[in-house]
Parts: sequence; C-alpha cells; structure tokens
Amino acid sequence: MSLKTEQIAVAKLTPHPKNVRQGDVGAISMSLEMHGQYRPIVAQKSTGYILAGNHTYKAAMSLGWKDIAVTYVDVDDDQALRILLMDNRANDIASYDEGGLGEVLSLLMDTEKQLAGTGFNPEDLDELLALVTGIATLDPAEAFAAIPDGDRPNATQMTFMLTLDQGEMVKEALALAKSVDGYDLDTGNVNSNGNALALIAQEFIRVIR
Amino acid sequence: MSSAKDLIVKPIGSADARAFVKKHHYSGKVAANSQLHLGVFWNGKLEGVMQFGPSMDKSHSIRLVEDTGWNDFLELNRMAFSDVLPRNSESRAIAVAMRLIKKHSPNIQWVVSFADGTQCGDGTIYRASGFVLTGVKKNKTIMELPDGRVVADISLNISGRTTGKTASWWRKNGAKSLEGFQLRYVYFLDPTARERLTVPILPFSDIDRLGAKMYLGEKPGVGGVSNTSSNLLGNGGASPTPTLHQED
Repeated sequence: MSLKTEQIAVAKLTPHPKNVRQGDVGAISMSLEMHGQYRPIVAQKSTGYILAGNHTYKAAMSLGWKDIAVTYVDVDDDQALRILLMDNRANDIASYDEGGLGEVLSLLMDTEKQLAGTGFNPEDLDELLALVTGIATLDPAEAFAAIPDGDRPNATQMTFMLTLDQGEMVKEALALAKSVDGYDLDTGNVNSNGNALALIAQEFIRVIR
Repeated sequence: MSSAKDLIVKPIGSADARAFVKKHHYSGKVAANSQLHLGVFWNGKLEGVMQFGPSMDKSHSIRLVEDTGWNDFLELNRMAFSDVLPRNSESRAIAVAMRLIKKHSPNIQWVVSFADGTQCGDGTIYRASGFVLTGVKKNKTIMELPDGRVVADISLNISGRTTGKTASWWRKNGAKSLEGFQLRYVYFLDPTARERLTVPILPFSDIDRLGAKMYLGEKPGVGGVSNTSSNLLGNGGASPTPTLHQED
C-alpha cells in the first residue's frame, strides 16, 4: 500500500466517534505553532474518520487552520478501529532511555530556547535526574540565592581559643559590662556579647592610653 | 557513545556534594564555607562536584582585582571528578558552571581557585578552562604532622578542632611543610575585571621554569629553578590553599 499525503480542508475530516484517547490539545497547539505540522493526520478513506491525529485535528481547529496534511488509508471499519487503538497504545507502552533523555534535554537547556517546543519543562529534567541518579537537583534560582550579593556587611566574626580559666574570666567581664547602663546603645549591633566586649575594649584602651 | 558534551551540570544539595567530595577528592576533605554545589552528571550518575563559596581569606583575595565589591567574586573551593568521565569533561563542566554563575549571579566578576602542587596537580584543568595563572608560591602552609596527617595551618589556627594545637605548636613539635607549590588561577566572568587585575598574569611556562610541575600527585620532572623569584612571591605569589585542606 503506497501512501500519499495531500493537503485538504480541515472541515473535510471527522474525529473518529470511537476515539477514547484524551489528548492534550493545548500541548499539541503549542507544537503546531512552534513547529508547524510535521507529520500528516491519518484518516480512513471511506469515512473520513481520523485514525491517528484526532487531537492534532482539534488543535488545528482551535488555531483556525483552514488546511491540513492528511494521508488516507483504504481499510475497512474493523481494521480502522484497530489502527485507532494501536496508534495510541503503541505510545502508551513505549518508554525512555532516561539517562539519554536527560542528556538530550540538558543539551537543549543550554540553548536560548531551552526546552520550548519539546513538551518537557525544566522541572521534568530535575525529576528525571533525581530518578536516575537518586540525587535531587535544586532549582538554580534557589541554589544561587545562597551566594550573597551587595556590600560588605557591617559585621565581623572573631574566634579565639582560651584556656578554661581565661574563658571564665571573659564570661565574668562580659556579664559585668552588660550590667552597665546603656552598654548597647547606639552601637548598631544587636549582639549583646559583641556590645559588651566592645565596651570592655573601649575602656581598656582608654585606661592604657 | 557519550562525550563530554553530554554532561549535565546542575545545582545539588550540600549533603550530596560533601559525600561525593569526601569520596573522590584527593584530600578526602570538604570545604566548610562552600555555598554553591554543582553536580556533574554523566550517563545517569553523579560523576563530579564543583563547590563555590567565599575565599577563606576574603579581605586578602579581594585585592586581586581592583574595585571588586565585597560579594562580587567567588572561590572555586573544591572540584572532584570520578575517573570514568570522558576526555575534556572537567573543562566542559567548568565552562557550564561559569555560564550558570554568569546567568544566575551576574554580580560575580571573577572566580579564583588554587591548585595544590604539593599533593595533586599544577592546575592543568584550570589552564584548559580559560583561567589565567596569577601566582606560583612555594608551599609554606600545608603541613604534614608527625603522625602523617596532612593539614592546612589555617585549619589548625581557626578552630582548633583539627588537633587541638595551633600550627606554630606543631611546627615546634615535628610538623613540616610539604614540598611543592601553590598555584593561583583566576577566571574572568566580567572582561573588564581582567583589566583591573592588580598582579601580573604569569606565562604558563613559569610553572615548569619554577619547578612547580605536578600531575596527579607526581612531579614529572623538576625545572631548572628551585626557588620562586622574589617578584613572584611579592605581588604575584599565590595565597595558600587553605580551603583545599580545611577540615570538615
């Protein structure tokens, strides 16, 4: 059986009345808009019923297309019904090489259009990687938020090593400093130990000088 | 067959990154200050990790490029790859990482990293990835303790967690600096940062000339000069590699 593709008026086609497939017309519409029609609808010659491409037909209608590419097949009603089911079932039972799919999607993610027109989105890629590797990937916006920007904060952290005795002495001095009225006023610091230590240092410098 | 172009580079959580680095980095240690962890996936497996964060000695490093804002540069703290990756994977992964940084953190103008020429290598991957060499310095900071442990002096001094003793104490008690060099590399995300570099860009041939060559932990042959020249040690010398050796 040789197949021939012809361009016909969309109105000449009829969705198959026994089509039970529920396709995503929105996704197909996006594909038609981005890629155009890249394979013909398959219709039964005697009835004009669509055997493969019922949702492509609906998407084309929703986009206001006047013409569409069709290949007619000359089959009886029994075979038409079997083709209708088989075309969808073949998709259902197919699977992906998930590692390979991840690589292909990742390649496209590097392009300007990213995953537009593939039917996949970045979240799909993340889920795929997590499924294949057992390692969850993060949303880049979330991950990069960990990198600070802006000016240097007006804060510094100091760490000292002390003997136990020195540590106790410092604690006592900090407690005494905190008992001074206004020890933390107008310092711009909300850390009480930092304010107490600064007061101690200030007094020490004043006395020594 | 998959090639380096098929690598996938995506941010991952710190726990996964740290586990990988502990297993695959030559030091077996992670950098505690890393903020961004990028996983390198290949053939459906995590086969590499790059960790970025602030420099340990940020006040010093920031002077490398004039007019750099406090948070406008990063350090590539750790980089570890498994040995199954195809050729050029490391440079490919770095290229993707730099693109991601440029896209998601456009304030970052440059990235500094250090090659440990005492135990690992002289930075072949950096040179293949577009980094410039800005310092070659004889190691004085990575120490081997008498019991064989290798640590950075800063990790001893900062927290005391490593051994409970300071670096100076250890030096008086048998610790020795490892033979070899530290090499400092810079990658410019903002081309104008290159013009503001405050130290000279060194020719890669200096590595051989100074006897700093190392590949996979082996010195392939020492060059004619055994000591760094004073000008390199002055303005252009590399900072130590504390983050390469900081304890977890």
